[in-house]
Amino acid sequence: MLRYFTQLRGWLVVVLFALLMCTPAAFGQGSQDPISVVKYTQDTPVSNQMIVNECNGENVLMNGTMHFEYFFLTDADASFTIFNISSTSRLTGIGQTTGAKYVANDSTSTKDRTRDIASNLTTTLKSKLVAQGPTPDMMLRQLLHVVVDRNGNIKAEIVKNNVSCK
Amino acid sequence: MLHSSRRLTVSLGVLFLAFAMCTAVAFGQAAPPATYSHDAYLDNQVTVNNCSAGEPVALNGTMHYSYQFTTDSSGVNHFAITAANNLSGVGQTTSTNYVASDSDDYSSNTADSSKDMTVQLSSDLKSQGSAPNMTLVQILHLTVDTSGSITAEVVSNTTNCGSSSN
Repeated sequence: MLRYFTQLRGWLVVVLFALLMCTPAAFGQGSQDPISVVKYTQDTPVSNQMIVNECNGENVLMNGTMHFEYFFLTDADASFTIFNISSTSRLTGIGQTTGAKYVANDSTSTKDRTRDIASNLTTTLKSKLVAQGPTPDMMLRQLLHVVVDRNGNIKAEIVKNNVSCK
Repeated sequence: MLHSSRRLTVSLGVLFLAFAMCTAVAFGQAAPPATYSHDAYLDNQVTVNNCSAGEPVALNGTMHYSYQFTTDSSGVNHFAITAANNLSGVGQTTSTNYVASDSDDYSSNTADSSKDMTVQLSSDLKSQGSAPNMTLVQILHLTVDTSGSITAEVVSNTTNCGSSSN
């Protein structure tokens, strides 16, 4: 009987020890900081911007918004920053001769790994200009210059617009 | 006689001046920056199909990458990169043939001597049959530097519904 109690006490000590070992680990997980990423955004209005359709020479009046967003991560020793940048077109267009209506909604994303504190990139965003009728679709190519930094600042401009048929 | 020789002297003077000006302009022109390029080949890389009406396509062909760089007086490097594809593909469901041929430009200003960026190249994947066209989106990982080294990798190939020529 005494041997039984001694054995039981031994097991209880083992279980208690195991419990004590596991508890801090379990609670510790909860107290770890989750990886949080701040996303910065900017909407740039496009207001009555005239673009010549190289396909037929028609002027197309564009309106809408260019949406830019990014977040960044730094590597362990903070020597490199990775900027993840996304540019989206949300535009409508009206052909000034034919009255043809178009809608564009496309996006492109870029990842820039750099030692600089800012990312300074120029990229091409191709958007389908989807005709709202029997007119053929067109292709809008925008050259976008985007500068973002670790402080949440975004500078974005459309350097060049080009509409063509393909 | 005197009149004629004076006229000759003036003409020669004008000629000499014009020659001197042309020479100065010619020598004053800065040499264009060198172009570095790299060709990579796709060998049966199958696209991930995100289009309900589409199909996976096995791509073959060439990816052509080229870039130039200039350095300004403050030491900032300006990299200008072009990525182009010239691909053919075979639909894995319908055996339809597809072609894609397009290019995009990317540029970056950086104090670094190299540039590491991941970009998108989107192009029409044109069906050579009754299957619908699709848009091919390639994610490209590019690194270039001021020594003329370039590495490029197609990280992924996906297709979306539709193209500008649908």
